[in-house]
Amino acid sequence: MTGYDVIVIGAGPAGMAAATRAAELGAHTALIEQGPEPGGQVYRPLPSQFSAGGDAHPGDELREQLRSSTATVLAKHAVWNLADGYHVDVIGPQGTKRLQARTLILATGTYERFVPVQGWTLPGVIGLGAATVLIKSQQVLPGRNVVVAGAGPLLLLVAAMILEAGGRVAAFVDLNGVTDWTARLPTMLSRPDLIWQGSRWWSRLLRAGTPVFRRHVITCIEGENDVAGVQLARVDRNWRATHREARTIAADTVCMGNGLCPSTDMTRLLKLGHRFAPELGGWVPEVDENFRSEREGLYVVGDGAGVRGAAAAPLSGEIAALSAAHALERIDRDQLERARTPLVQDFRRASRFGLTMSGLTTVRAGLISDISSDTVVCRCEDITRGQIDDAVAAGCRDINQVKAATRCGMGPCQGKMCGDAATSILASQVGSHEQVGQLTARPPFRPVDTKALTGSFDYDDIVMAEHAPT
Amino acid sequence: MSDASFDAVILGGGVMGSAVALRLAEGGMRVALFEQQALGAGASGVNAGTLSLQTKRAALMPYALAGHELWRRAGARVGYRETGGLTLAFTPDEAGALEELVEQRRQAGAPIELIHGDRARELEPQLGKPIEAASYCALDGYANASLTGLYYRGLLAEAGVHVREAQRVETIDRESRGFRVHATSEACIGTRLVLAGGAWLKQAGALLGISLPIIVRANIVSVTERMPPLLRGVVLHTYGRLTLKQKPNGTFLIGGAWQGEGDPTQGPGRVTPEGLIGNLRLAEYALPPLARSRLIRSWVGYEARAPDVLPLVGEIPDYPNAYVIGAVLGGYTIGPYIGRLLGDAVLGQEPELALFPPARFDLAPAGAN
Amino acid sequence: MNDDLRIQGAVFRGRPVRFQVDDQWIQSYEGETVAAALWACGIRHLRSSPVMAAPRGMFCYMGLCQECVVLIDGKRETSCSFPVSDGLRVSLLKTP
Repeated sequence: MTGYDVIVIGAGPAGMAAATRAAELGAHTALIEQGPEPGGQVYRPLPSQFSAGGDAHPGDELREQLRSSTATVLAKHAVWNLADGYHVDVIGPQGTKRLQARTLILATGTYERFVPVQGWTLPGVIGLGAATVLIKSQQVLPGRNVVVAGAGPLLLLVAAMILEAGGRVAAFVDLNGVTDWTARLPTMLSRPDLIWQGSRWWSRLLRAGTPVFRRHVITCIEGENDVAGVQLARVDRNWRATHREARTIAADTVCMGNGLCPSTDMTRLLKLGHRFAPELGGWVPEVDENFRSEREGLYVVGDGAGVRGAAAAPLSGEIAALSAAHALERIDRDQLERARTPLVQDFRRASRFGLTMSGLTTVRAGLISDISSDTVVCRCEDITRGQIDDAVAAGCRDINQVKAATRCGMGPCQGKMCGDAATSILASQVGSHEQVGQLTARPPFRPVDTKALTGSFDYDDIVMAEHAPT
Repeated sequence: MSDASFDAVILGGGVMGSAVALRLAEGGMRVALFEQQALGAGASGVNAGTLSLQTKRAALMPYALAGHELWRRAGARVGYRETGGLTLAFTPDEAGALEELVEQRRQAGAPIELIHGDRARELEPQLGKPIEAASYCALDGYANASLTGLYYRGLLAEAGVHVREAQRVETIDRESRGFRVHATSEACIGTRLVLAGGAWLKQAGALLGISLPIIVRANIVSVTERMPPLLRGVVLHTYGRLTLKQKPNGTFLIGGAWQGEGDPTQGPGRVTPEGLIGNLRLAEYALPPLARSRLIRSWVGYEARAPDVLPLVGEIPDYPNAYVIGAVLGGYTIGPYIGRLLGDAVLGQEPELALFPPARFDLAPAGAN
Repeated sequence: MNDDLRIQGAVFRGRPVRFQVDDQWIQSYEGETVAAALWACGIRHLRSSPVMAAPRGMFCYMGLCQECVVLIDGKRETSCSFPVSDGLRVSLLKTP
């Protein structure tokens, strides 16, 4: 078993910053990343075989700092199981391994939130996040004639990127109205750079003559084996569809998304306390101002502790690393406080902006109540909203009962795509998210090859423990 | 306001607690059932669902045969499938042990036959080599344990049992009218009391002031992604360390009581790499194409055992009208039947098969003597 | 959609490679993932859903949703995280 002072899981901005800082402060540190390179979803680099015209990429600076630190980066390593102590079970190119650390910093980021709609399972419908990776990292257009729909700042980014890359945006469908955006202007003013960027994207849309539908929602995505078009409706303040648009908008691709939810499968497996905080994206683990959980030596940083955005994330990682270094007696209280104070100020400022933006994506009740009964909610198991409703009628009251009764959330994605929607549907009928609870987390966090776990072995290598008496 | 009173109060809404409750309601009793989580949330709902006579102790075979029949009658509501099952022996030692086991179980009434390894591979062509010997039981199969809660919730509601889920019993007081039970937000009085708490039986007994000799096991169960059809029936191992089946949806369910870790009072148990890898290796050794599967989920189900690995089912000595049911090895198969037997005893009738009275153990709490 | 969705002019891609999808050869570039290469040439229907046998394809592109799983050299892989290489054999998981 390989031991470290600090293990950081997830090499997005929060994880990179946490690992870099922890290593700088003298802690023997490892950073574990499933992907081929550090960066995370937001700073996903171009593949190493691609080359760009020398432009600096956002995230390069964090990557460079990490590279020049003493932190060990274990890329292409998937964490499949965790235990107190802290034990981290990984599968890497060389097989399975158990790592151990006194301090564990979880920086596992978010999942995209999807509110199911008729036809969202068709090929040609992808997440907004998928669209950004496809364009930025793979240099592939999502489509020629694309509907961009949902809520939040990612909508605008994706639409602008598609136009920039030579595609057409068939419709820009935003659940929010102008007033939802302008109400946030005062906070947005703290980041004039981002306002400037946003307005450039807007003018791009206007120049292209993109049809913009504010306070609208997709009610149905049409097509047989691929996307043919979408139907839209106007929504009220509760995001309930009111007035349907008469015509279908033709499109070959739909990019949809409703913001981000913290990825809590690791914190759930470790049985941390969680609270439901819609303003932070949903269920979040309980952490203090140092991002330390109730468990000694266990930290949760970045958007996984609440969606505050890419600017706040590295600051939370650094704050946690400082606190961990102090607990490991690498720095004294004075050093901790001196380094911490400016970081906390920056973090608060960045958070205010991030929270304002993610507030645009907080799901409103009408969107959930409008999910029709024949809409597939759980993609892995083909479970519809109607089947969830039936389970409620049969007496199921928490999400794990619904899972057992219907198989919703039991498939290969383990509820990562449907968990938020299914719990929201259930909560709307039972009363609250607190009553409904969260899906029980179970390893592996993502599907793993059975062979990667079993390795090569002989029959004699199978250690048979005592068996039941006859 | 006085608390509601019932003829019987049951602690625990797994297979056994539910089966007792149904029998009592059938016998005309007013019954309340308290479940700390949800019906079937414990071992009853998270075990691998194997319904096999080849994994049962000979001493429990009559109970297993009767329990098996009750699951058969539950049919599609619990995903019952009678597929036939093979027990494999991979070494000469195992073959010797299997022969002996088959003989004991046959004598106890189970229709199990010893077959040649080649015959086993005819039945299941994807099995690996070498198979030294095997046994076959046509009655073996499985049900879908995930449906346990849903199934019993329906039956209990029909029977008029007062079911309270998410109600953890915090105190039990003996008084003249019976047992006063205080749960999370409800209280009631039962003339009779049945402890059916599964892996939580020790804690349930402590509420009454007795020490039930419960050993908790943390059994690992795993499921793979859907695969093309590879296996028709259930595959087991001589030493009971493997249960393997391919469900109608194509997923493989892998069990065999490999041990994880955990304490039922501290929430769900933990899968350990050693336990999981051992289990998967044995499964892959039996069925090599499993090497191409992806594991999607592993978990731990808590199981209760008594030191003599026989059930604890019967009246609690010195506590008239208080009963315990649990620690049944193979409890998923046997549970519905043994619950009815205890129900008969509670109703004052003679059960058709003997119970397993807890009086064989000293139940005084440590230091009480 | 059968024209090439690769964005032209912004970057230099890796070396050209060819791989096989069922009976069809696909032109791709090193550094691309199988999912992106298929998407670029309009192959988006990758598999059928288990119960309804409905068409499915790449959705989250983050290795989470498992919708882009195909057989690659006989093994189930998330095509969104699997890099292309010369001679790769990809089978879609569509049920007829």
